[in-house]
Amino acid sequence: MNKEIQVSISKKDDVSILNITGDVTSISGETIEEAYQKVSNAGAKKILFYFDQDGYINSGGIAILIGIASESRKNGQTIRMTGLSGHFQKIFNMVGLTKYTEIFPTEELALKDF
Amino acid sequence: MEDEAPKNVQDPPKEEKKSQQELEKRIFYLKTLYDLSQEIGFLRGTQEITKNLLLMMIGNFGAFCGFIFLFDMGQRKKDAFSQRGLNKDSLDMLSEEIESGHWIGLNGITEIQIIDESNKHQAEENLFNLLSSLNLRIWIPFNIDANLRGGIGLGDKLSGDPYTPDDQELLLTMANQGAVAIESARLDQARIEALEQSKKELEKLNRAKSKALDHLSHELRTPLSVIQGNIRILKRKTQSQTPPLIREEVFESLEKNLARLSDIQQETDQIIRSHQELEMKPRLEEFDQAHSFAPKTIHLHFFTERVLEDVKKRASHRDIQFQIEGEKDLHLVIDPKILEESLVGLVKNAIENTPDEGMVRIVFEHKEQWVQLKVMDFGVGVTNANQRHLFNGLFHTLDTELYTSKKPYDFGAGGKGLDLLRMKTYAQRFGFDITAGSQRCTHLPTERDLCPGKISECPHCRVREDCFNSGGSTFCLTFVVTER
Repeated sequence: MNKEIQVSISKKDDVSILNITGDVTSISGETIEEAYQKVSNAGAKKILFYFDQDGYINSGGIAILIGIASESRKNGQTIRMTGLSGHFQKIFNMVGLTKYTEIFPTEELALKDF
Repeated sequence: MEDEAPKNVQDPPKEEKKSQQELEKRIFYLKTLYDLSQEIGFLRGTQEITKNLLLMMIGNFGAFCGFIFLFDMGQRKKDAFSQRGLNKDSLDMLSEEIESGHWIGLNGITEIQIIDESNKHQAEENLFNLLSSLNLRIWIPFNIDANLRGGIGLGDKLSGDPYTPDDQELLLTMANQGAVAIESARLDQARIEALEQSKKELEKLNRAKSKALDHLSHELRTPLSVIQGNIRILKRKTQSQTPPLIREEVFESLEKNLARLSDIQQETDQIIRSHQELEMKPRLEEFDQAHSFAPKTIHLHFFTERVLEDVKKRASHRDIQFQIEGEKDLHLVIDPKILEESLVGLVKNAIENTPDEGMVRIVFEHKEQWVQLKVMDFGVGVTNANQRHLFNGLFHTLDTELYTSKKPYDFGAGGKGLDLLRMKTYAQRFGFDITAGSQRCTHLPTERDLCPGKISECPHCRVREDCFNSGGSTFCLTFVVTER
């Protein structure tokens, strides 16, 4: 049973943070895309994706994140990710997503790196 | 061999790590196959299925970009199209290719194909160039059937790794899974359309039936009136002779049967009107606006007592015991006429199915937001086969008795089921529910077995309770409780 996705937007200094809870799939991933578009349209250049450690991300969800990462590069934005379980860190690395973005173990470290 | 052995000994952790990564990758691929079946298995639209299939492929292999399309060969038009990561120029070029039908040449590549220079000789050059110019690295044919054909193109992997034979096998499996889902969705859609068509046909037939019944009912009025008039004239003329040419009893029988036919005609007329109103205005709100029925708050117990007293008078020739049970302070908001007609109909039906010395019980029950009014008889009951026809109207469990000369409220008078049909119509119109449950008398398993009509004359019953325990029916009206 999928956990319903919820995305909230917050800001720390000049970093826009997308707090993502629930499962990320090809269908629910559209909610993340919308949130990303929202902060992009507001001119965000530094964006942190803060995932829920218990959330599940399937291949469809990864495709959505690849799309966002690709667009961010065109927009000259920097994307960082945190909150991912060890398993998904490995998967992101395996599919090559880490070539577009870096993954950090904590929010503090991710914010410091921007 | 000599070179390889020391390498394994020198660097076991690296090999182990590689094996571990390979294992994790395969588990991830298997999980993708499972997730794909979950995601697309319940989708019903081709466009949705293809879009999800493409996303799952892109995410699984970490592809830069990709597209998927299906072309309807019969109608020569695009059936589904989805893309991720293609730039505008690529998209325009691809759309033009697909819309113009040029893509059909892609059928030349009938197997999964890696797009690189080393394979160029295997495919038609112009098609190869097209895929290459779209920055695609792999082409997967995607054919649902002979009519619905297409393909999937994926770009390079973000990781920079090539598409291995294992990857190609997985891609084909995923494409097959997508094709099965689309085929299944299309079959379901065809079934739904066939059902909708059947429903429309049935509604059409039903309207034709109503129209025919309406016509017959209308046409019956005149001959019935004429016959009634002729009988009166005949009676006057023949009875003035001495001795009377025709016996009085014959006229009584004729008049009684004629009155019954007239009743049937009027009831049929009333039911047809109700159905026609329902068909024209199926929504209750619309019906409320168009008709001036007057809902009132009704004290259920007092109301039932009053109605029952009237019924008892009409059934005074019967020896039936009546009981009212349940909560005494229940209220309903409904048009009193509707409730009265429904209640009278159910009690009349119960009396006509209960032998003399028997009992009819009216029970009120309050369950959360529902109030139920149950009319229970301990009569002959209805066989399972006949229960499904109870509310169909013009249905009698004893065919031969349809035109008997029994009076209303007589045992076995039965009727034509029109009262129950009317109640069902009311229930649909006024937002309550009517249900029935019945157990046929254990001593009368078939409709051909007859009840003597009096418990003391039943060879199977020593006391009344024997009859009460042998069978009976319960009709239940369920109303939503409205705040007073």
